[in-house]
Amino acid sequence: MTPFGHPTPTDPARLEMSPHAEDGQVHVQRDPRETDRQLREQAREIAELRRSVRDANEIKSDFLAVVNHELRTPLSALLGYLFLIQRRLGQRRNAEGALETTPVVGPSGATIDDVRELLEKGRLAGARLVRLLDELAAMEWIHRQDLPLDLERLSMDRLVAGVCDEVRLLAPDRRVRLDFHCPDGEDDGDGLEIVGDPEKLRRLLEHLVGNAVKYTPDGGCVRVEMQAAQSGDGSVHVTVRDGGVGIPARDLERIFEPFYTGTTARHHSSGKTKFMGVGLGLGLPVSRGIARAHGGELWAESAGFDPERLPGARFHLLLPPCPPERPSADDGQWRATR
Amino acid sequence: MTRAIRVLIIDDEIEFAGLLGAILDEEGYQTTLAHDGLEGLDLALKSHPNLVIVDAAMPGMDGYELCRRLRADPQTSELPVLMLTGRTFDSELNEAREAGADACLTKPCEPPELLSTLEQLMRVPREPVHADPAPSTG
Repeated sequence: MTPFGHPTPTDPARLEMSPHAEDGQVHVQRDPRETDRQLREQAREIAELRRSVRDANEIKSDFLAVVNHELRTPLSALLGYLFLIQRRLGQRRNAEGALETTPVVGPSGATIDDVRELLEKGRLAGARLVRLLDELAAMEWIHRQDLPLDLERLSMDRLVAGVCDEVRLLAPDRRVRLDFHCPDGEDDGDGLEIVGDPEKLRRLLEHLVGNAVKYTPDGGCVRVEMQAAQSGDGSVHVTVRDGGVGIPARDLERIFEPFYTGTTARHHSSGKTKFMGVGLGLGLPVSRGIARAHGGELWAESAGFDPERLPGARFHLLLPPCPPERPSADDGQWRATR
Repeated sequence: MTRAIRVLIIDDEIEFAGLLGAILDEEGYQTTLAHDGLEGLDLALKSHPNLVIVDAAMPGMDGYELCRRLRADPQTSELPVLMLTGRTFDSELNEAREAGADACLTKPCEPPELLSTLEQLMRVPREPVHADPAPSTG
């Protein structure tokens, strides 16, 4: 046996038949020097493969870092100009102090308000690009296991309630009911307080709740629940249940792999609402990375994929009362964003 | 309304520095621009800014070195410094902190975020500078 627990695959031409094959079975005998040589050769090949995988990984990381940096610089300028133009348009008021609505472009009859609207769309597109870059960067952090956390004591029920409110505001045209249920909430004191990074956890929750609304057809219901975990050690357990098409068993883990956008995601939910684009496929991997950086876990369960019955999916987030200590613990005085 | 808060912006990307200056001017800050570390250091001493915004990556003297020199000089050791970086990795953010920056934003920082950080830096009195990271209590 090789150190890997398997017989060494050997060229049949090098095998010799045992002269003592009395039991009718073929016994194989190898030249020990030959075996030794092959083992050494294999070890060398494995070392080489390892090296090239490590090199490829480093190249990928460098590539991401450079692309990230190079894209951020012009994007900064773009967002800055848009901000400045919006600001200056916003300050243009008439003698009565009302915002101007005079045409700014003759033939098209566009008004300052029209231009303002276009600028806002441009700004939103830029902000979306920033978020994509943030996700790419976060993926790298998670890969290196040094996602920076700005830790503070926070009330999870308030955080989750806030995220639910925001998601409702962001999707006013969706007729999806979003319920938040928290039996151990504020009335019970600080039972649902944990130490965590509020921005990172907000991002995680926004993704989970936003996704649930996205994957639930109009007229459906999303239910967010939170309670003290059964372990009784101060951990918090959040579940987000959507009313969508569900997730096939084979995808329950794969949806947490980077860049996996799934085969069923394109089905959206029931076809009642159009769903454009599936994103980079980094939302869930980054979310799980954030949960794990806090010493917690994020996983999914579903009764399967069924566009007719809409079994839905349920995402579980479990967060301990305090993240495990890391060597690069922040002193909390210093602000680092993203 | 002029708040008369003087901000020194040091960035080798001339266009970006100019844009940042225009945004801050619009908000009533008084801005001065420098396009490399040496010029920035010189202006930090001569123009008596209330706050410095410095790009981390610059040819010659980079933002980190500039920050260390500001901290070493008694005249500027308490001057609030906001570092901007295009990099997003923890090690680089740590480097900014160890160099003595009070805050660090990743480009592209959206202007409202930049403005609120500036306001916060002008409000909060500076923490004493530690040459070494605080010993871990764990």
